[in-house]
Amino acid sequence: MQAKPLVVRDLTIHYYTLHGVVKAVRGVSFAVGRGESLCLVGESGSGKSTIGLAVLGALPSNARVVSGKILINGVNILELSEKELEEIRGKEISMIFQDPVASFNPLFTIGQVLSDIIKYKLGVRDKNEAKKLALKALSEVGLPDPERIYNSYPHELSGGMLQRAAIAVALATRPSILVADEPTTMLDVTLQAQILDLLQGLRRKLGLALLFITHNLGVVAAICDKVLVIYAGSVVEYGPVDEVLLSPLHPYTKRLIECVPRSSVKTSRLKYIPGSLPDLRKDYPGCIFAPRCSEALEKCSRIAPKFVEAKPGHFVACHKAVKAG
Amino acid sequence: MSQSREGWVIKVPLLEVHNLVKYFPLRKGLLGRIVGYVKAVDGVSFSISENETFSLVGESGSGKTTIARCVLGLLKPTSGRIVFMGKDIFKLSKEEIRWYRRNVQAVFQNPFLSLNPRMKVEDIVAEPLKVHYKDMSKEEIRRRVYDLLEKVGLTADLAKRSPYDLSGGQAQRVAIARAVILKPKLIVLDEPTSALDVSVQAQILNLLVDLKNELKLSYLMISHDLSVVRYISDWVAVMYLGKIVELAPAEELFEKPLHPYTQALLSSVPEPDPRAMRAKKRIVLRGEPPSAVNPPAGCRLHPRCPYASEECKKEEPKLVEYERGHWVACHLYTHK
Amino acid sequence: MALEDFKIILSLIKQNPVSLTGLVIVAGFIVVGVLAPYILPYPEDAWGEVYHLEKRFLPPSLEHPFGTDDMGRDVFSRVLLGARFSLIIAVGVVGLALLIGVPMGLIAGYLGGRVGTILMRITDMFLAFPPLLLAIALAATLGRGLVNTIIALAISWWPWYARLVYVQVNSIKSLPYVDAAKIIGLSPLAIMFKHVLPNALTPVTVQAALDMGSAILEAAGLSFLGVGVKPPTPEWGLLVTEGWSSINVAWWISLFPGLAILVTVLGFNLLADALREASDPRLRRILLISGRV
Repeated sequence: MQAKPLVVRDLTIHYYTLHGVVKAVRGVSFAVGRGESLCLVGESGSGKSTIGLAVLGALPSNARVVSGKILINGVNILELSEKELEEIRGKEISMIFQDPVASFNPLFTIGQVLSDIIKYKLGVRDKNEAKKLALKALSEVGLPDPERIYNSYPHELSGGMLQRAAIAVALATRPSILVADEPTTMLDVTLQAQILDLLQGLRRKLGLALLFITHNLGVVAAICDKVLVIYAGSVVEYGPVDEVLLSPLHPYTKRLIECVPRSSVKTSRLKYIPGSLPDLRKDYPGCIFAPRCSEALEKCSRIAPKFVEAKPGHFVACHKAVKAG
Repeated sequence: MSQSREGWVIKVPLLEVHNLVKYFPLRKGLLGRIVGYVKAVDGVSFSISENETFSLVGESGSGKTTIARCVLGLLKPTSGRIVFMGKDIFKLSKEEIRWYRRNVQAVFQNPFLSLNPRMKVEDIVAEPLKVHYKDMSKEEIRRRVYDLLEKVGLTADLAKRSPYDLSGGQAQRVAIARAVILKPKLIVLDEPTSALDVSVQAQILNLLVDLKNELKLSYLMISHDLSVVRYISDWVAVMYLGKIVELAPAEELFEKPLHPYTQALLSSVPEPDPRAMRAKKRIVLRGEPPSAVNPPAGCRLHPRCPYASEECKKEEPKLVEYERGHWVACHLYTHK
Repeated sequence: MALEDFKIILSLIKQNPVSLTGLVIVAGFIVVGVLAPYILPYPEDAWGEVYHLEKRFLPPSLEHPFGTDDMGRDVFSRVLLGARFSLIIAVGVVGLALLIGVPMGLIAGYLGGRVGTILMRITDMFLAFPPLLLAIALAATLGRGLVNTIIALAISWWPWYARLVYVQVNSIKSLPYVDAAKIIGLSPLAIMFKHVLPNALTPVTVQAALDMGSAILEAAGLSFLGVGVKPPTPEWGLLVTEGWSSINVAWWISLFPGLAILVTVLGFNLLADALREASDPRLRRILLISGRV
């Protein structure tokens, strides 16, 4: 079997702050195959964005990968020099962000940005050839009138169009992996739906491995094949999207889904998760969710649950769920 | 309106907005010559009754926030009237302005930006009392503040902290406490949960519902999140480019949306149910909302609407009562 | 600044050796400046009222740690007393500039409109001159002396504070907490002083700390050019000038006051950096979150 484009194994990341070491990511493993989309879903403080940055080798200076591996097409990027990383970024892996305005330099036109990338990453020296490729990249993301967009500055485009342009830039070099960190959070719903459709289509067409980071369970349902639920830096559940969202096993996943109001049905009273995120500087011998869990057993706070396959393809780290299953 | 045992009862409106218009001049050059207007709100009317939640939904640029700012007296409308308990709020005497301020409060989207970072929680919550009840004793103020902090779910030890020491949910509770301490009749909620995590959002929404029932509050809710709107609203008005396109009781609007824009919005909302998402019939709008400087002639949606006809390009549809209490501005329903 | 801020700033400074150095230097400078008249080894030398022809140009020794000058005066005593004049200049210049600049910027920013425009145009007129040139011209016109030096420097500096406050006020007045204050029913004056001004002052504090150092430096510059403080006042810039002509025979006369200027200005700069860091709410928030979540 061919190796998956993105494999993350036992990733542990710490932030060094003035008030101690924050253990933001605690032994996270996952893999994304060709043409597959995996969602990292969690609330703020779950470590999902940190994982996204780590996969791109772009962690802030006060963060360290303490252990684990990040394999991009079989190469562990944690062992690469900054120069070798630069080579991989763009060519094999790209990223799009929440705020498309911030990902463009306001002084350059979309065309200049695109041509530069095509020139330096793909080695296309011929100007006309580069422009042709750039225009193709723009029309591929469904931008009407690519010629006009090519000559536009970022401020001349609306948020939705700019996010499309950001996708064009990210995919112009034909990477095998795309990391998308909340790319639709700042967009209106009708535009969000358009961008999600676009990403879905491009993933199928280009065989992209899509790592999609979001807090929005609705977006998860719209775009993902597989879901990885993270709480306080730890993976609590993993499985196909239908399984995880429709028959969740972990109490955290269940509560999280119950929190979400629906536009399709009348909710009489919203449920919520009592308590707050644990102190991420500490180590927890048992399940990290146990203090907030309504279904916790006596041993939950003492012994860490193993991450096991409770149903075919559906993994969970929970004593109770495994016992029941 | 609401149904009581005797049948339909007309409630006294608490707030009436009559044909509200707000244009922002577009200036250019050194002399600030006016070259055009952003037609942010272009003739909007609605009313809110006592103990009722009225929501304005729409995407960015729809004008919903401008309406909220007019109601809060932060902006002066270009034309139209806003009437609170029978009084035009832009023709109030000095004493009446204080009365209006006591009765109409607000909660904003980002709790960290809506709380002065240099004040302590208890001072923030006490400030409205100090402004409006100058002779209230310190002990009385303290007692009220601490009672209220407890009621909104904050422990007393947070009272001495600064807003930056709080979590997003805690900070929003402080903002809510500040808004209700004067026992107002109406609170404007401007995207009160969109900066929060879902589990925190649920707590804040529940708190708002509880406070509404207990203190007999009315809410004017501004939101782009239809799921939140359905949970909290009694009435919903959908806005597009400065106009209300549909207005109905919440259940009615979500179960039987009439306007193509409402239908498109509802069909775009992602729900945490992958099967339902796949089964959903999507109504796709072409392109993006045009600028409010030169809104399209006729129906403002027509360049993006899948059902647009020749008539839609020429004539602007009026907001008409299609069924009892259900208003819609679309030519699909005007000729029935 | 509130007590709370002070605590946070102190704890931040304590954790950073560089900031701590700044704090120690500035604290030392202030202590020396206040106590100088009472701790002088040779008070008469310090005030420059005497000549000791037999003790001219003595190199540094235990008796005279910084040596003696062309009139046989103890340089150490003169530098110590100089700290007091530099302190007066620093506080005087920055204080006076704040007194004019802050209200100007606050009124212009909060009122906006025509009044704001007029006030800011006046400010811009002052800003059009290079500040040091303006100060030299003013000092030359007003005549030499401590008070005139302070006035000359303050007049060339207040526009910078006015502009800084104006920009701050302009961005703060559209923040939701100012809207919230209006909705509560607070009067515009109360909003200005309770909600806008305290938040606008944070960067001003940083700038003021930085400027204390610059004021000392520029006052020294004016003295050096002969338009500042009158001799025999032991102002540091003047001390440097006095030793200038005999730098080949007695380097210590200019060196030690020069070093005093250098160290003090450096101290204020380091402290200003620490203040800038401590006043960044995002940084504070990160610290607090990582500390308390």
